[in-house]
Amino acid sequence: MTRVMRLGRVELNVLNLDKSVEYYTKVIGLEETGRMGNSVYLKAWDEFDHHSLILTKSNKAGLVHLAFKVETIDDLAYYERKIEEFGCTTTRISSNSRLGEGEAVHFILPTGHHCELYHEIGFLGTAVGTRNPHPWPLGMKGIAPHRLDHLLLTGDDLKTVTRFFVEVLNFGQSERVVTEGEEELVGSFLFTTNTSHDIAFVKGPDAKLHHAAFGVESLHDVFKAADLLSMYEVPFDVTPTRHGISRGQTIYFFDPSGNRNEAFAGGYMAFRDMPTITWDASKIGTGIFYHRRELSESFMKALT
Amino acid sequence: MYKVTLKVRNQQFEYNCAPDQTPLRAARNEFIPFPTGCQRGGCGMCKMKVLEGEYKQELERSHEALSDEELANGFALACCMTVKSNLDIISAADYEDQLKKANLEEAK
Repeated sequence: MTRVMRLGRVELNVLNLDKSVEYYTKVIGLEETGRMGNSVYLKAWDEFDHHSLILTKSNKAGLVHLAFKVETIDDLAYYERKIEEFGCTTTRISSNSRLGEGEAVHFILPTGHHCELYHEIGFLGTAVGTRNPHPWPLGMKGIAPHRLDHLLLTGDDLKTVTRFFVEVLNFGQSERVVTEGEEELVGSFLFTTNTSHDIAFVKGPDAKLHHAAFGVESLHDVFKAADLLSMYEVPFDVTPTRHGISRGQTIYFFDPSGNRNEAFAGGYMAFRDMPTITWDASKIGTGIFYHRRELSESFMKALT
Repeated sequence: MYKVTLKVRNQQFEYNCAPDQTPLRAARNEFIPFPTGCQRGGCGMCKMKVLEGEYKQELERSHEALSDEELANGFALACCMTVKSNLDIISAADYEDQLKKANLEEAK
């Protein structure tokens, strides 16, 4: 069965490359794995591919592209055809356009975000290896997440982008937020792994980034992340709390360019045949911040 | 200490701001509802039009949040600026509303 395995990488625009690399290595605790042109490549200690995050110098913040890893090289042609049938234009990005990357299929999502599918990428291995490994490596720095977890993007037409992920890329929809009478879809949470969401969309301007989330193990790690962020004077958006949607434990904060990050723990396991959970838009406060039960202006409006 | 006069959300506030403080931080310290986002010059939520006064804008910022043209026209990001005199500012959103109203009046 042809399958999209996971959100493999995210490329973010950053205003100051040195400051951003310092933040993502020292505070987040990723490892720098290479540099090419105006970009720096990073991975988390528990990831084995060459990189999951690319920081690219720019005069604006936000998302450059996101990419999903597919199971085999032949899947590229399969999805290319399905994406074209859906009505999106695809182009091929040749091997080594970026560091350590094989060929990719590029297309623009119905929400205006640049997206790619790829299979080939350099292999570095996790920091603990695969033979009698320790549970975590000595000398970890910062928050030290296991992996890139998910993205939340904003867009106008969430029905179409959901249909794209479900029909074309064979994702499941774990949760959704609807207005009265189910007239409008204002939130859509989509998965291809067994996590509650690999990518999600909320209603808002097209082509914008709401946040990039890194996966940590437990609420304790979320709390420790909060301590570290205060030590490093990183601006918070939201201090530790629980999500109603996904049931995850969370903290939101901003990178040096104003891109929102999340340290995310827990959340239920999602399965292909699970019924989609529905939230009424009137209950969105509880859905997003289970304790506070109301949204905040910064969380709703600060986008890059 | 400088005095800041802020118009935002159709309200007016006056507060003090130290020379090494951002007008955003000084307002928040007094529980004034200053529109606040990333506080890193990336999202543009705290964009103000400076009506009067001297200030220094941090130039490393998202040009989507504050373009060169806006910068030249006296717009600023309150999360990454410092105050050099008494300051009279209005949020970019309130300023736009004011312009619209003025245009409507003119058309009458």
